[in-house]
Amino acid sequence: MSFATRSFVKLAVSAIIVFLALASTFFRCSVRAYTSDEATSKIAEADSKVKQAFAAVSDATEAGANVSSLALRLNEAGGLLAKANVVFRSGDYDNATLLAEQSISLVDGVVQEAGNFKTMAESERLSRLGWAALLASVSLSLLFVVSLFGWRFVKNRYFKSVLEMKPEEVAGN
Amino acid sequence: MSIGDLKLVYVASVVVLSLIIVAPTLTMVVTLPGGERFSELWLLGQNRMAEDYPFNVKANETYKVYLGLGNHLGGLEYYLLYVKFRNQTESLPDSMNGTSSVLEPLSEYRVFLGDSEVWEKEIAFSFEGVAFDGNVCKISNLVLDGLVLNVDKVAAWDSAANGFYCQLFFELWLYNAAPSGFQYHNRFVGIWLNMTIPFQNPK
Repeated sequence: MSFATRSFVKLAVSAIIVFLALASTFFRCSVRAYTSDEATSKIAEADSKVKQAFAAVSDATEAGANVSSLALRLNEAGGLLAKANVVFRSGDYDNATLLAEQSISLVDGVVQEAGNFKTMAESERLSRLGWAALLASVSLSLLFVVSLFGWRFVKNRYFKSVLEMKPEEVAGN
Repeated sequence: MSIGDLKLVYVASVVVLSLIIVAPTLTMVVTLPGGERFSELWLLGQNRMAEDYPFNVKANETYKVYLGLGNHLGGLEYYLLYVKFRNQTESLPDSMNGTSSVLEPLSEYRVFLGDSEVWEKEIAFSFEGVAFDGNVCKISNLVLDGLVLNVDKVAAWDSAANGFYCQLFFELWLYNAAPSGFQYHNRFVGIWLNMTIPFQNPK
């Protein structure tokens, strides 16, 4: 067998394997039908995951983290969950389950990322607070010292101006 | 001015200056109370203005409105908007008691909004399976954003207002983590629709 023929046979066998793999996946997907209970359970799971993610992102927001990317994911997941509920009401349990699964995969990892964002925001806040407190302490100490010298200066000027005052002449004396 | 008065003025000036220096650090620790906390909900017509709302509607024609939501509650919030459809005899939300309509939602939108953020969505809807039978109009389906929703609604002829009236409305619910559920946020917007018979050209 020539080299070209061997390559062609290899290519053909690979193509057949890939085709069979794709066909079996498609067949598996197309015959899988979800029941109402399965869809309900998947939607409930998605709902719970979205709520957990929201709580984590909300905490991160309160800590001062920039969570715009996570909020975007939350909105997408919420949109999918809403669609899942809508198609569930119309009796399409397959699509409801698939949409709920997509929603779950979208919020997957959001809790951890939000936790990381929160930790970072808190440490940044603490660092900022530390620097601000240090700056305020130094400034206050400086102000205290300057005010002491300042008071001496103001007091001297006051006495000087009092001593330089001329007695007023009263008319008629 | 006596030396005592001068000393008082000087000390007061130093105290004011100290407060000015400390203020930025204090604002990082102390949170001042914000303004009024509320959520906005609005519905605009097809030109994104508070006019030209769909009113006289026919079967198989698409109409457009814009639904908007604004968060001024001071933090990230999780909103749920229920889409409901009713005839004149069915219940509306009760603003006095703060209770939602007992009707089942046809559709829903879930929105996460940060403080001072707004969300707006174009909503396209049409009706399918509209049949007029004497003094009643039967509506089978509402098509919302391309999704066919079964409504099976009957609108009776309103002789006072000359029409078959139905209302498409949107209820706002807010997620509250404490009881771990959504609560009706006592806000809804809606439009009245008059189902009309399409004009048929006599041949």
